[in-house]
Amino acid sequence: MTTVSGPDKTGQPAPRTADHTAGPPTGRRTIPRRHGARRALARSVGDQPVGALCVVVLLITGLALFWIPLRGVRLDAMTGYGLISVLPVTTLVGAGVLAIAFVATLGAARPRRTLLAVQLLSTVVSLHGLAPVLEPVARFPTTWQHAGLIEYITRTHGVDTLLDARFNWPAFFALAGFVTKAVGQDHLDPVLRWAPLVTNLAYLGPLWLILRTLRANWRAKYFAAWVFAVANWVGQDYLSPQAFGYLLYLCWIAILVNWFRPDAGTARKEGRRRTPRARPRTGPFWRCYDWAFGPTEPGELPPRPASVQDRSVLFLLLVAIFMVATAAHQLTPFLMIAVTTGLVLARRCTLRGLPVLGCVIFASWVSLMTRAYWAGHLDEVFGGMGRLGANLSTSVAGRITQGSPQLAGVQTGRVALAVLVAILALLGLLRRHTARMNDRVVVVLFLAPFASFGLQSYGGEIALRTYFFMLPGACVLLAYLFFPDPVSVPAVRTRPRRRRLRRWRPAIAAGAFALVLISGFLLVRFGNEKFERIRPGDLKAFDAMLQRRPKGPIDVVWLTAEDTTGSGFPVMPWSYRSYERFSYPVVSTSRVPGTDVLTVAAKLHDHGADGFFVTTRGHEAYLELSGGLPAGYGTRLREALSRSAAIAVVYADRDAAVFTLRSPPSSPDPPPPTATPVTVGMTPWTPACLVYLPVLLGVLIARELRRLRAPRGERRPLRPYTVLAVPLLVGLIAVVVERFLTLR
Amino acid sequence: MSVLILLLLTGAPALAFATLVPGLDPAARVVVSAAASTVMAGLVAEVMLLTGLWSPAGGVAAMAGVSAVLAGVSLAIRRHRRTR
Repeated sequence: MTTVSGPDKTGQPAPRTADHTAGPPTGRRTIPRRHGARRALARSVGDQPVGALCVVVLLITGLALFWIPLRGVRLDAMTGYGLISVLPVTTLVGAGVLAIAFVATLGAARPRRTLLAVQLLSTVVSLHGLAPVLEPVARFPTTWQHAGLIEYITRTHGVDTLLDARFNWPAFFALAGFVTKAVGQDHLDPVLRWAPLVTNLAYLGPLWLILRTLRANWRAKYFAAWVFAVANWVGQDYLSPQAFGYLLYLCWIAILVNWFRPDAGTARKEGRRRTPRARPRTGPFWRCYDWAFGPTEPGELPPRPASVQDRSVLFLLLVAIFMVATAAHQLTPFLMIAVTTGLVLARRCTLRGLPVLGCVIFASWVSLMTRAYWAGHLDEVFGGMGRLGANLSTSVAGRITQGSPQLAGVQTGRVALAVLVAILALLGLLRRHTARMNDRVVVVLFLAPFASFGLQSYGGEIALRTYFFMLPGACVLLAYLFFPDPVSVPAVRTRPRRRRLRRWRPAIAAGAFALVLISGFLLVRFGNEKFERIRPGDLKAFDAMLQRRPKGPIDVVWLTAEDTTGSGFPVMPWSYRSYERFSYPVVSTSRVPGTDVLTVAAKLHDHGADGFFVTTRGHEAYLELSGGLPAGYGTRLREALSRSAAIAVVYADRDAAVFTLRSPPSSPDPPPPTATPVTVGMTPWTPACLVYLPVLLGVLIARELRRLRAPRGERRPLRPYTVLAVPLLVGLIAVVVERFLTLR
Repeated sequence: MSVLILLLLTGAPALAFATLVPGLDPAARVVVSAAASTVMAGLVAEVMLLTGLWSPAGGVAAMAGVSAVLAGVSLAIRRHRRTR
């Protein structure tokens, strides 16, 4: 008897939260329960200790199935499908069990918050910790270039803006270098290896702050958090400015929606309301009209109360966040401005001057601090603007390779998963609208990132980035598709079996989707692992070159099977230290090892003692999968190079090999290149800008601080600030334009 | 030692910032203060890099200084409120 006794029998408090949102105390509603509801709740599976125990057992089983068989994984047996091709079946089953256990907890009558949080964290650790646990060194070549940039800063105490475009936005590299050096962590390897997991865990903090402001039931909120973690297969979570920028982006949104939304009186009920005396309107037209334009409830809870001091400090924090984001990454501040503008236009943000302030900071940074990046080739930099169709096609169709069918399968999977998430999010939006909820904040979060499509020149990556940035909105809308009710529907006594089934129906549908999503994650997240994985030998190959030539430039000759006329780099951890000494001359393959040996030897001859030919298993896998070279080509080429009388082996193991000429022609070492630090670059009007800018920033910040102290809707106190700001703003725009025209 | 420095780098600015926003609920204060301490470290690192004053030890000192200033401001605001 005692094992199945409900809360009322055991004397525990009644499951009060069943009818409440998972959010804060403000805005909680109480729905009067019908007679017997409490007993019906007690009968539900998740509400009984036995039910919770089942979920715990399921969770432990899932974790055991996922992690224990990983001991025997042989990464070298990987095919073009990436990591999933070597994962044991039990691990995949374990991932499915984790998903089912989470959704089963959502099916319970009341939220078991600790259990849900533990499950969410377990899922994040399992999915995003998979590669760091399996692979001995940090994955993904670009991670190691970032390590090289950080090492450059900590070694030279400066940047070289012409060496790498990323040095024009160096805040993140400076931060990483500063913190690691300050705590005495000279080796970045563990930081690089575990960064993806730490980053994904860190995202959950601000995401939770965003979710708690929504008028949604606890199931939708927890499911949204789970979807966010599992749908984030984009792989932008390694130690990088974009991962850091994204964290700042989430914090930015969290602060805006928690403390800078208009109060309930302003965000009044939207849509036209007809007086009860008005003539009733019937017919399909009016039904459609009422569906589209009828009255709705705001999709957010009333804003959290905060004093003027709190909000002023938070506003100053917003400004600081924006400054760091602007100095760290080129795309993130643009999206912050887009989202803030969207929120202001949707009347869900009281800081109406914030988008202007953001634009001023962003434009000033680009104009003054990144001159080395745009001067001389302004047309290329801004050429992608407005080319909506071209940006879309290069970033979607252009990303599907013509090489191996396995790689094309993974890439198609990525596009399919992104489209599925976007479509289900739209359906969720429609379902919420049908339930008369007006989710303006979430819609802005979902749609604002699309602005980057037409405005940013970002090569073929923009679709990926747009998906990444729309995830916070998409995951909420997607959760609304399954759990649209603003408060959870109470279980009632009448016809209990059918009722219970009804409550489980969304959970079953959500479970099916969760299984699809988690399988998709395991396929596409590590789908390129055959060439994105870094093997210890890859790093040793670069060490061997540095050991052989302790001073002077190093020219890394590498083989390609693609058109690299624009830009191209080998798929290996190039320049992971001594960044400035390396250059990467390329040779195109003839697809015949013997001929390639002659080409390589000729190229090495051109570069003399500086020249090394490097090949790694990751790079060879890329040539096979993306370039269409026959399987085993890399091994045959290595053998042919080793046999060549003109070429000596500098380093060789299973993972990588380095070759150089036996007797290179002697050539004098060129003088070491001098670094180009950040310089503003003077034009006739630039000194004026240097005076305007601090004053304008001060006025705009003071204007928003004044707005926080002014009564709601009162514009009069802001007028002096506006009058001051407008001419300064015009002056700044003029100087920015003048600089672009003069220095182009 | 490195643990102590890490605590000073992350904990001290976060705590100082948390005292400036007393009206927030505890969980939100934790998240917002963590964000603030990261942003402060970012600003210090950026300023050190661009002004040619790169020094990790100096940066730690600057972070401690900024934290002290924030804590001082918070204390001054409280005193001002009490006396008013």
